[in-house]
Amino acid sequence: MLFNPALADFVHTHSASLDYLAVIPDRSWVDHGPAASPRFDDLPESVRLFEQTALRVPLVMHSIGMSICSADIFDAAYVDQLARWRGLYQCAWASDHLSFSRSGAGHESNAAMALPSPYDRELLDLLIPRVDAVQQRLGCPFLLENNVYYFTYPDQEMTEAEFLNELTARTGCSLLLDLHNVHTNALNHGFDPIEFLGSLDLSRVLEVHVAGGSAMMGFHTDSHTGPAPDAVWDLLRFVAPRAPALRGVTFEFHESSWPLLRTAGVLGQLDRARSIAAQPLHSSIWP
Amino acid sequence: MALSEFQRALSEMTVAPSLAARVRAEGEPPLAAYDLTARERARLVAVAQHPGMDLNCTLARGNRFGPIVDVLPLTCTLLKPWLRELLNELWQNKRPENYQLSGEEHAFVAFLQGKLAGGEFSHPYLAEVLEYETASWALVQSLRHTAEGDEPPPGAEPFRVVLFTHDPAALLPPLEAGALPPDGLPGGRYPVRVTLRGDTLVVEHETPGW
Repeated sequence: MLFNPALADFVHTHSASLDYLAVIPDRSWVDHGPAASPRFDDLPESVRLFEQTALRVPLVMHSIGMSICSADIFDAAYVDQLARWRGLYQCAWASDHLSFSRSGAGHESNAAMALPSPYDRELLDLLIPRVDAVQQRLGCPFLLENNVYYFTYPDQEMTEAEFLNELTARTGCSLLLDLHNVHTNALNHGFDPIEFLGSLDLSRVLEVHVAGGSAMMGFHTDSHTGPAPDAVWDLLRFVAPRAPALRGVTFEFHESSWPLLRTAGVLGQLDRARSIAAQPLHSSIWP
Repeated sequence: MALSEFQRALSEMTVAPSLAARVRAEGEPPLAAYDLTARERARLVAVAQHPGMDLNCTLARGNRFGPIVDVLPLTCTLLKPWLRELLNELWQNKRPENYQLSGEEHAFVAFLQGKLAGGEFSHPYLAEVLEYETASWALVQSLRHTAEGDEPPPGAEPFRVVLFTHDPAALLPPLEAGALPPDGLPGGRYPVRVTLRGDTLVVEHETPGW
């Protein structure tokens, strides 16, 4: 499960129901920007919560601020901060998104959301040394998450699957396969999600995300609303037996959906994930 | 670096829907300020013409609004009839300052305070509701930055005093329920003490019936 603030009590009372807890480390600090010193200020309240949780449940990191696809930014100080955090909680793995949100050498342009870059050789060449550096600095498996995208670029040099396959093969990094992203893209852009998954090298998948979404402006959106739909569980049924390195299935929802789910709803999603993925899963999140 | 310029242009189109609209309507000319290849220009025009770009702009606005409504839920309810227009005006020239979107709430508070001080916007309840929520937020922030063991002893908790000019017992409950308060509440002096006890905000004052 991916932690959100609505789950503060849940993780205390139901830690036995969790094999691990994915957390967004960026929610436990304030980033004052690359020119500031010190750049990062921990939020004691959040740190306390994660410290207490880590005593009972292994943590994995799912960061949101690396912006690894930014053409003119490789944020080594941010990676150092992740490495510090990873060391504090001995996270089994770390993940971020295959996207950019910042641009400009001084990080002066912020998109207020994660945006995809075209799947071109230029991007691949940019990413390979960065991913190598991140893996080396973090000292644990590093995963990149496939994008959700609401528009497509014309004339991309590679398909999404070709890009992900080559990136993971050439860097040795793993894939965080977000099945709700796949489901959302397939609905919005009219392709067969199973065909897409069949073209991915699923041996690189270490973690899967499942989530729900909602309709907005004629699109299905990755809003993390409520439970994961049946179609996403069907995708997990396809992926799990074909992903030998899979170590975790993470249910994520937005805190505003807590009244829809409550404890029983969240436990139901975790049970459903286990019932589908338990057989092929490694017995531990550790390698 | 062309990819950098491409990303800068796409970011700007995302947070400034007016640029996306101009590219959709006019094609490449509005992108002249960016050092782009022909393929990148064509891609941005195609993106601007895709309905998904409108959704992206809306999602980005929603992300920016998140920290504002988290901190100022009652103010946002009070301003519901004018909120979209006010945010458009604020964001027309104000870009997100960082990926955590911290500072969006402060920018909105300063914007509203400026509007009130300059007489550009008036609402009989806005100043006091805004002051109440900013005072509450300051207390919550003090808790978030308090290290374990540094909590104040009972009776010495941090507090703020907010002076309401309309009875908060009549003003706040409708807002907390997501509704507009009644018009024409009588004026008066209603000093309220907002105290942070543990992780709970306690609101007290001496007005009978509160």
